[in-house]
Amino acid sequence: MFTLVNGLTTGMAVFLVAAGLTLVFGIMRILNFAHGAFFMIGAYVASTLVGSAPRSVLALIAAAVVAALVVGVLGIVVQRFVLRRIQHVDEHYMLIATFAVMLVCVGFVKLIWGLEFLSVDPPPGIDTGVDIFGLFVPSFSLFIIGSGVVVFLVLDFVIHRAWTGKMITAIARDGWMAELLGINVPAGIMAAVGGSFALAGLAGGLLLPNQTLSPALGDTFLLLAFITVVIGGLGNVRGAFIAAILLGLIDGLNTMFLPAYPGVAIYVGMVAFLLMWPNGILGESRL
Amino acid sequence: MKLNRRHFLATSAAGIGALAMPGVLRAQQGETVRIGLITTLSGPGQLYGNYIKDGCEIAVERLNAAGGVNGAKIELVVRDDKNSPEGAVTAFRELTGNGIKLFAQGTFTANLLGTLPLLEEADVTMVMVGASALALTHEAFNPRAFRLGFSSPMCFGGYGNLMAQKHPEIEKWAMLRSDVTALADITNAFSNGLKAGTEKAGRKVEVLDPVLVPYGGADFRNQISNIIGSGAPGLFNVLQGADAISYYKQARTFSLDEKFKVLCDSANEFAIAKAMGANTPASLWSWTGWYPAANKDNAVSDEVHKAYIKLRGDEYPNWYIGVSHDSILTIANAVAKAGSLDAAKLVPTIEAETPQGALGKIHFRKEDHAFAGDLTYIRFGRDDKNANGWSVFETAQLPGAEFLERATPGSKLN
Repeated sequence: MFTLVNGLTTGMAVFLVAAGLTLVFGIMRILNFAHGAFFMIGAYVASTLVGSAPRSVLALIAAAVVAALVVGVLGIVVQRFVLRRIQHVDEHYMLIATFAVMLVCVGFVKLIWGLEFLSVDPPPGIDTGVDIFGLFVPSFSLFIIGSGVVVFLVLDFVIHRAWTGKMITAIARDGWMAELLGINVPAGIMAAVGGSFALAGLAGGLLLPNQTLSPALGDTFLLLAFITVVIGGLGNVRGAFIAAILLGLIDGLNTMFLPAYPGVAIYVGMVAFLLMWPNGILGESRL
Repeated sequence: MKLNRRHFLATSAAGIGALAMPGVLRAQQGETVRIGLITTLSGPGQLYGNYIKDGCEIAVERLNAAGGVNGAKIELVVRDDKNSPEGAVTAFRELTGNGIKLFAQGTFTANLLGTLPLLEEADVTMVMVGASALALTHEAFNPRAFRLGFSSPMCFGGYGNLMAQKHPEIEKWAMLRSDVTALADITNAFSNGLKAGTEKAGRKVEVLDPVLVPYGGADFRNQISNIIGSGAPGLFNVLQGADAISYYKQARTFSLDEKFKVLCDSANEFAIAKAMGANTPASLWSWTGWYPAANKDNAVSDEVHKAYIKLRGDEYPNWYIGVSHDSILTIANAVAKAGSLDAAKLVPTIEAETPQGALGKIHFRKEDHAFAGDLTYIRFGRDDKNANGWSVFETAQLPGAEFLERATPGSKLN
């Protein structure tokens, strides 16, 4: 049972990071290698705001929101100067360009925050554990699970129910036609890309007490986030949510049944999923 | 002046002799003794490369302030290995191409394995800074290279032995490590040292197989739950860097302090306490290569410590500072004693000399050039009375030579 809860925790942590990654692919068809680096910047920005010991859960969430705004603005800058220019070139150039952005981000973090490890504690209220029907569950795990579900519900509502989401979906599917219909396409793309990056910053802030801050932090979740996006279906937020949960559970079962081979089941799982659903569980989506 | 045959021969001989004089002798006339430092100054590992650079620069500053090497100033020429063997070889070739014969290089074994085969052709003497892999003094042994680092059997065998002495009441130990094969040497050495120590005392100890976690992982809670479920009262943790700190953070919720009577960390020493502050575990042992407060009677250690505080404002330097300082000291001392930059003269001098460094007497085993100095262990933890939120409670030192693995230069240790 603990494995199940922990699998959900891992899954939701991965989803928080993967959400922005799949969104930016859905809008601009760009696999953003720099996404992990912006997650890291979000974590550093939030840590600067709350210090090593956040006073409350609210303070942590507020810092995460500010981090999201900061990273969102950085995302708009990246979109304006990098992503927009490579939108119509071959995928290889996109990967190289976003890889270069990642290196710039890591250098930026080293300059501002240095190389030493930093740590932020969970705030009071989510720093202990709770007993649920005799099962000890870390309260921070519940916080991560809750955060993941809330972010998914909000994203799903915005994309599939709200007017803004429909506008962005229209732009993603046929920008030319959307423009003919009077939609401000550049502004829509900028808002959507900014939102995608903001999600990375938000994830960095929310997961802050879970990880150690170092210039390598971006790598921690990036691979898992990519796997999630691929398994769920490129650009499909609902698919990413389901894939993240499945990956978390697979990882948990891996620890239980194959402790000598940690992390292996995720890759085996990815191969199995892709053999069954080559386009991802819910298929590729342009939002 | 009339130039006769005898005068001509005498003058020519003097001139040729002067030209052929070893660099150090000409250096005495105002030139410098150049030492190449190859370390990691970018990418992963940069943190440790920076420590090494700081330690070496402190050594050069101290030695030059004391008159240099036989009157010649030491010049440190620093190059980045870009954390790759190719980068290390490129830097090595550039520096040897510029006539540098003395090298300090560290810390990653893979990068050293790139340059070690090149030492003969370049006629170079090298001190390997901080590197611990057995290969460097065994299958890849090069007689021109000296390892100023601590092998796993030495420092972690000693560690296990120390725990057997300090905690005879612990009859069962659990271990946790990243799924990196190289780290298996550490858990094996600790386990062997523990078993040897308890057997010597006429007792027995059970050491469980290590619980493995993915390197660079995000979540360690499943493994923490497994470790706690093992029922072992002693825990040896071989996670490194950010992984180790994330693990201690996540383990706090599980009251790790209360679940284990003795917590041992392999080698993260103060990185944990500096990051976690008041949430550092209550009591944690760690090996360290250099801790100034454990060397109170060592004036060199004190001076290096003060120089580092002046340089970085940090009272708790990483152990690489002391080790890298002593690497330069070893080279400078040998050059001064041998009066030459030639490896043929420097190697036997380094083998024979035991200069006083920050770590204590710098001594290498003659057969395989393995460092055979003292071992230091520290116990630190949460302390509400200290402004840092943590304090060092206890230190212990062991003679490293007693725990050195068997010398098998040129072949793998079985």
